[in-house]
Amino acid sequence: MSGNMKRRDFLKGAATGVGVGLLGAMGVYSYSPMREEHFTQSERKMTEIGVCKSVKVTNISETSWFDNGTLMGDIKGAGGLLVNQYDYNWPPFGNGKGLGKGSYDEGIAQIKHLLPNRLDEAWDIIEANSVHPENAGGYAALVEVEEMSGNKRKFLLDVGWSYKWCDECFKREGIDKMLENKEIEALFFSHEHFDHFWGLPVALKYDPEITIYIPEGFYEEGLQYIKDCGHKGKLITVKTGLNKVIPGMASYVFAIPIICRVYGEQSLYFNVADKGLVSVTGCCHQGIIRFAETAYNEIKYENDKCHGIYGGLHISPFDDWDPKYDDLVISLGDYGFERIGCNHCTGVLCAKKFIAAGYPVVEGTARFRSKDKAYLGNGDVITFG
Amino acid sequence: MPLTLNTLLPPALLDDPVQAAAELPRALMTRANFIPGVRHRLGWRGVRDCAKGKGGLTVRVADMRGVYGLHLLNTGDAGETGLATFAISYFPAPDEELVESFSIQAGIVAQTEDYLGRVREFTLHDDLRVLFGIAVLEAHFKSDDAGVALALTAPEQDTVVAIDGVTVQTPTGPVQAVDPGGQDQHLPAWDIALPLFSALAASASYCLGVPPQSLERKSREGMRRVYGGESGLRSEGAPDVRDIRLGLGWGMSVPRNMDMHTTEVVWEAPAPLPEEYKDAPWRSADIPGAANSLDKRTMGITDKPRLIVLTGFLGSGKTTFLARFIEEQAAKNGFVAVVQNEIGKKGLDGKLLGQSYAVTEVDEGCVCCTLAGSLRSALSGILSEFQPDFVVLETTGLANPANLLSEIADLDDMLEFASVTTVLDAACAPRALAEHEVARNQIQLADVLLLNKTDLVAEADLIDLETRVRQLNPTADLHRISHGDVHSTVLYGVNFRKFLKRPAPLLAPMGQHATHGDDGIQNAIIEFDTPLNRESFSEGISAFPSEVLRAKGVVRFRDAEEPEVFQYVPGHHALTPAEEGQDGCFLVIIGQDAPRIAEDFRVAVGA
Repeated sequence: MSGNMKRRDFLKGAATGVGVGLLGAMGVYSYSPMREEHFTQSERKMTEIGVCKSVKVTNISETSWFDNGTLMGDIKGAGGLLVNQYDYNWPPFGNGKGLGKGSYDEGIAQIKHLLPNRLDEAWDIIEANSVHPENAGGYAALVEVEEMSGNKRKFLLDVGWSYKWCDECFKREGIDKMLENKEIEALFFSHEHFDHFWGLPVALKYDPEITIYIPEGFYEEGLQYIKDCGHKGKLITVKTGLNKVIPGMASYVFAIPIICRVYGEQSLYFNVADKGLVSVTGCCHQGIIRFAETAYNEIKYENDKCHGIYGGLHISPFDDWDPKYDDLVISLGDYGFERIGCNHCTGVLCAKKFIAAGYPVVEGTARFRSKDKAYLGNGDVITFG
Repeated sequence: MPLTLNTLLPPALLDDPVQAAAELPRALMTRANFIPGVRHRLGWRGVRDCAKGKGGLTVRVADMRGVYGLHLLNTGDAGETGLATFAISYFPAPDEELVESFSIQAGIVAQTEDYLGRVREFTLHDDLRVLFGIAVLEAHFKSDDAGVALALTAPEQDTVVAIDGVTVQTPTGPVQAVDPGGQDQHLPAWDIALPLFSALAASASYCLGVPPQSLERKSREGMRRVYGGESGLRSEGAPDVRDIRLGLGWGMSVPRNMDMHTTEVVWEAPAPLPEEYKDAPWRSADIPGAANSLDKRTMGITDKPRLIVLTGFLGSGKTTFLARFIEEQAAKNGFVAVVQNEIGKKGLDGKLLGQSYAVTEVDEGCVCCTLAGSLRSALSGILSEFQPDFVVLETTGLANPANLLSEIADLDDMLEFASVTTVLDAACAPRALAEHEVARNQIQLADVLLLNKTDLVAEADLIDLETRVRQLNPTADLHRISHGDVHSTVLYGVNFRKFLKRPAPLLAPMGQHATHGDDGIQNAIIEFDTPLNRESFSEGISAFPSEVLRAKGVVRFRDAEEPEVFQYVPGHHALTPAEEGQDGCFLVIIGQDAPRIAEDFRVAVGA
């Protein structure tokens, strides 16, 4: 063989008798102090989570903040996305010292004695001491699960951020009455982010004994806040992995670092009779791909079909090394969802691209400060099943 | 020095050292990739989770054309330290030189159509993991008295000898790819694995906030694999090559590996770092400029960056102006991407790596790139990687303005067009204008004209120049400056909302006195006395011939109270609400044959 011939030139379409097995038998493993590969690719687990008749999601609020420019300016001014969110000096943890100079302890000290029943007074103090309190909104959703028997059960996913805004939204949708009447069984937190979690006192004002589910990964400040807000009910920390709730409903905790010093996201999976998998997310920081593939690998759902999805959507936590895949439109299309309600951190441009691509997006009404009909906005409802 | 571990992993994981070790590389990469400017400097060029397999990911690293794979082999503990071991694979780009060093079988796989698609989910494909494995990564985590260690183990050369040689059946007949007794594979595994390890170690220093305090490099006699003849596959000692293990420890010493006998380098802080590691990327925890570049996608913010096309002859002071602009934006926590239109040397290097742009510099406030491919593909990459607030497209020539403008119009799904800004050297401009069509084009198409170096020119000459410039462009904002010194709000308004100036009285209205275009590009202006019918206006605009390079104006419509600002480039036009106090109702048309086009338009809208 001529020494000048490049393998790249003649290997295309070639075949050889040497098998992979032969070369691989004593490969890289010989360099490991612990040689065996313990983790072989698993079969689909197909865990039964039961089945339900339908799921209805009411968007209490998806407008986490009202002005992008203000929010980005705050984040940059405080030092960027790697800064601990409790240090930003955002409401409710304001200490009056300005952007980036806050702390949980100093912030809570100002208002603790007023939580959770005297929120108006607390908010007055917060307004005086924190940065851009008027920009705070929040993310919260009411999830109603209809059991096969026809019985309906209610849950909250996240509560939002601003006490003022969240109370307004709760009253608008009647969540306050539902909480007072103990119609809502539990409050799930998707993750510890300011716009999903810090509005907790608003829920506790009406039902301080509500059961709370948090993903494993909350930091000390978060755990302390739950106490300081006056929570008197059960606190359940869901470990990474699958957590069955009621027939047809499960939550799943993904271990993932998130911006602003947060870790872990809990998302909800439902198995809706005759329809298939329905997912409800807060931000899906783990990415839609990991989210959908995890469902496929772990749980059993009707017809093996991805039926519906609601919430904020991200493709993945990373920038793909092949830019043509950095396209949420393509990624979402891979799963064939039949009913899509998106909002919050999806990005309006993205939502519009979904619609332009012909995806089955359920549009909203752009009311109550939601900006665009492409989003399933504040006060809008989506039903699956 | 205490490690900032809690920003990397939450309290729940910190109590479980085995879990923490298993999560460590992914946590380091995730956090290091949050910030576009930082991730670029740490060497990351894109990461992708293997969603379908368990715990694998693929990543590209600076200066390496292929894709690395990382997947978990096993976990275990040694007392209070958790250990997780990962396999590192390298999937060469099908056309890169390294393909020659991998085994023939690997080379064949790398040439297949679905190669990169399968690489993206390599944990599902046994053949990929086996053929392209090159090294092993250990992650150690110590709970008590927190510490983290990373170690890379790989052979200097991973050699496989084929006793019987290898004959390959190609579509054009058999080829003896390897002679009997020759090397099927001869892979510099250590050299290939090191860039990934360095990026990971640099990320560890960055995330933990401190550089490593201990280093250990050990080796042992290497092995090589031989197959064929009667004995199948066997390993034999290869005395002339070594297996190397390099370990770094943060807050702890590097854990021992009993198989590695020969110590080559050992170091513990505070002793001075050995010479060969003085420039290692993990040496410092300090990557400045994390605040301004923000991955807006993580917040769902899809606002488009603003595009400024900056033009001017060499020596006009363009660069000084640009530097001031960047500084100004950085002070407001903005991030600017500067793209140079000319393909410079660096741009060509970029082309070699198969990219459409090459980054020449990244810092606190900006990233500078040169083009190596099409404008659209370069901008797409730059926007995705850096998420800038502004893009400044710097170009010295506007030799073909129609082309550039319509290319830019085409980008309006990615960028919000803000301005064509031209910088002129007041002293040299008169001659340039007289002699160069390019200079005239630059002025005609600008929205903002900066007469720079005015401190060097007499008042009378300045007035003459301004008159000449106004003949070429009646509506642009004209500013006299020196040393490139002008505040961007003066030029572009607060939030880029600006008046559109009425044409100066130099030019008679009604398109009758078009400037004599020495080269065909003319200006014509139409003034409207009464509000227009919106539909006729739209139809008139759609009927603009391709000769129209720009059009802009302030228009009042019958169906609206307030006037609107109109901007047109070929293929794209927009009507936006005018600023308060905007007066006038006029349209300027720039291009060849402008007077006739203007007249046709005036008739079409019945004005």
